[in-house]
Amino acid sequence: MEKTVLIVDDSATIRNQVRGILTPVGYRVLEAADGHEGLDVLKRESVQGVVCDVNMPRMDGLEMLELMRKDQKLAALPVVMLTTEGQPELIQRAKASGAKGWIVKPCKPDLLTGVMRKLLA
Amino acid sequence: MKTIAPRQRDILSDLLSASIVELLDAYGLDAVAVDDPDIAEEGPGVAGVIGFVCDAMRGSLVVYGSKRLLAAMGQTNGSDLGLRDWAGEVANQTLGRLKNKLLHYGVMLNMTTPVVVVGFRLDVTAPGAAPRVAVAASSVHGTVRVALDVVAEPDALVGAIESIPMGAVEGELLLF
Repeated sequence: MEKTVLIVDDSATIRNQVRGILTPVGYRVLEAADGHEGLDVLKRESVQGVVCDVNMPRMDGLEMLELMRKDQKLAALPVVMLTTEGQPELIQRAKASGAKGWIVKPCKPDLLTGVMRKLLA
Repeated sequence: MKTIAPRQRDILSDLLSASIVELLDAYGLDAVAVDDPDIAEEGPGVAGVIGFVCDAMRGSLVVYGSKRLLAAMGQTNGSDLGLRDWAGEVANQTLGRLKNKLLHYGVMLNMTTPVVVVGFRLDVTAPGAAPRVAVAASSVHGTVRVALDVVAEPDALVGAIESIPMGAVEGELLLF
């Protein structure tokens, strides 16, 4: 069955990049522009994996991740952060909140497809 | 925190120049740093603007390039809307690279989200004439200019600190 990945990023260009990488290798890709929208999508759609930016308006990616972990239905969903940030404190916060990976932009296609295949296998 | 010292300006200029050249290279443009950041742009331009703050410094960063150059980075379909969005992301990724380099100096910036300005010949000015670090990088597709209006505490950016743990670098994946 086709697996669905949600990309959460305030940049439409980045969302298109991720869609362009994951769709050809068999994933259905949904989009959200910030953490609020991301949580809304997760509550109404069946999603198997999330790719999420950190710095976004309204609700950032780490806050969204922390709220997901408090929600029984979303707590186990694999999340990979895709961000310009490389700060150890932020990486540790994501790890403590249950993120499975951290990619610093730019997003290399092989890297993203590889990690999604591994996490969604 | 009202200004930056010459030593701080030199460090920021070097790090900023490396950040924009590396970013353009990462997207397939063979870029080199150029000395004159006031090189006139050819044709309509787009500017991505993003702010930053921490205990040691605060300011804003403007990345300004021609639409031709931004389109040459190959990440959009070339539409105006796409190029505007991409300009914001270029500002975000430029400041992200600078931020990651500043970690070596014990400086941890907090970044805002970007905004984008479009115009034919944008003139970047700051109220109160905040101290500016300006760099530029050039490729066959045009020139991109970066202006960093910044003030810093006198004891910030005293030098690279070897013992500071680094996080992740651009293009890298960390698996938990």
